[in-house]
Amino acid sequence: MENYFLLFKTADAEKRAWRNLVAQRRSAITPIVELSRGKKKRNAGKDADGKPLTAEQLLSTFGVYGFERNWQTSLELLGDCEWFFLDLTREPSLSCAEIEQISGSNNGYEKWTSFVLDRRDEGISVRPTLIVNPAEEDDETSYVADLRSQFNTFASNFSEIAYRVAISEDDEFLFDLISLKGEIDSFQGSGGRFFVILDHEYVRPGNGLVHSKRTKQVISSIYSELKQVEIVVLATSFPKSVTDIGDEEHSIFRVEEMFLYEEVKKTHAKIKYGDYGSINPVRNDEVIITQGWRPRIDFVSRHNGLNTYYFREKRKVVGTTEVVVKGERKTKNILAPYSTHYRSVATKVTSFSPFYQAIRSSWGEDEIVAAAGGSVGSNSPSHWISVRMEIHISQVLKHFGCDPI
Amino acid sequence: MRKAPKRPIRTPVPALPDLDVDSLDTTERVIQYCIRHKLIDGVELDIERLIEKNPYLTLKKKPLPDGIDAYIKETSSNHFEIGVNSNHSRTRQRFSMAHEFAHYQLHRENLKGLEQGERILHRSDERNHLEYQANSFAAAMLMPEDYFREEVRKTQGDVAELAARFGVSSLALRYRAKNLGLKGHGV
Repeated sequence: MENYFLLFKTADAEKRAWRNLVAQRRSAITPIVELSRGKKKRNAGKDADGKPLTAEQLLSTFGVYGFERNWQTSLELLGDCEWFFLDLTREPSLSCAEIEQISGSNNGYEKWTSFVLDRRDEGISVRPTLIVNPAEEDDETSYVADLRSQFNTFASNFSEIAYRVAISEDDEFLFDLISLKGEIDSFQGSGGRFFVILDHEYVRPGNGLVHSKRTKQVISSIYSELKQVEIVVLATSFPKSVTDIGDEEHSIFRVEEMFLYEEVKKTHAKIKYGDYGSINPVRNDEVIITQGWRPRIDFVSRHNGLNTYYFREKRKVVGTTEVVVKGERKTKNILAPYSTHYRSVATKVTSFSPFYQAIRSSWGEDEIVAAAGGSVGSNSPSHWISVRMEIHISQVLKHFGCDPI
Repeated sequence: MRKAPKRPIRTPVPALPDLDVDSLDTTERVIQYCIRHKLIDGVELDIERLIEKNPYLTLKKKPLPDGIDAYIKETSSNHFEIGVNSNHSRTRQRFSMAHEFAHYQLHRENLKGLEQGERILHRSDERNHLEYQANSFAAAMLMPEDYFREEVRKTQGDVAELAARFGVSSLALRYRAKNLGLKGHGV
């Protein structure tokens, strides 16, 4: 089914959400898999003297991150899908030397086309995304030649090809589509399908209307060059930090990607919907939490339109203890266990009437109900991100009336 | 790989509409917009021109009562007025303008929803999440992280020099440095 395109970034929380999504729902989604660097290997990322490498050095050093393991485990998870698009991250903080190498433009993006073809030959249902990554020394002629060569390699091996653009940042992308116009027309003429994915990345709740005005114009410009392309409007409105949107303990905000899609659809009826599964585009998996975190549970509701709400608590001080720090006696607060707070916020989430809804066969909702009953599945924030994502995906399918459950 | 590839092209590309001036809902988008419209001189962002380029915003510099830096209020449907206390120093006015601009980008719906007498969101010592968000946005806009780290390196953390380059007060600069986890070299 192609009602729902999901940008699947390959962090552990997203993999957990996908594993726990029932198979029928997984098969109702078309993922766009964005391969990223994976976790840093133990003791990697240091020079010969044991000094940590700079961010720039890390990006040019091979073997620092578990990239290969990450793509293997990610692709294994997507076996249920009829097909999915494969892409590489464009987020510098999620890249690594291996990704930079694979995305090189030389010889018609040879490394990238080989990578995708190898996966197909292994029996994985991949479809390619075009990579646009000119080298410093490329001129216009070689740039276009490499792009066309990449397209032609994919066109002769696949029936679907995607092109993803960061629509808010890349204002020259029409050049690529115009340069490939002949190839795209020919590909479509022989039954191929070409998807242009307009990736808005983060759109702040409340701002969908202003973004939609421009998106409608951009789509008109695309259609004036290529009438038959299939356009996906992709975005996410989940913030980097919930306090960017709401207050410390509770807030509710619109799933703006759905609002944006519905606004654009009023003008361009054939567009398709895409989102990040309620995940922010920027992942900072190297932040070390030293001060603990405030337990929070999110829920995506279909009551009165799609909205996300959360409840969050600061950990309570339940006593004090004496500790010795550098020979000095100090009084240290004893905080309530995380599980106590997760139980409490889960109760608040399930009591938030009429926005809270029971969802049949939803692992995420089951986790919240269990936590409210005293059985907290995990005290890890990553676990609760998975819960949010699984619920978000289930609710979007229901919103479209295409939930197979 | 870049989100916006550096295409080595000479052929003119059909113009796409620029990101609308009222949809700059992340500081990264504000910075990109300012770069495209040449609103950054060196590293100092021209907040005044940024506001003036927005047809839905009117900027008024005028004396305001003691304790009030600035305000934003809706003057007609979708049109807002930003008022800045002209008695304050240039750097303080710049931060106040950035703060109110942040309210416009982040909290338009909240501004509309407030009662007549409460439309003005004063910057003050009162802490609520809207004020906190506006302050964070303003600081990140006037002192973008990448520029900030680079300038700290170039000036070896000279606070007075850095504050002059970014057009902010020493206090705002130190606060930003602290939030970015920078230590030593005077910041």
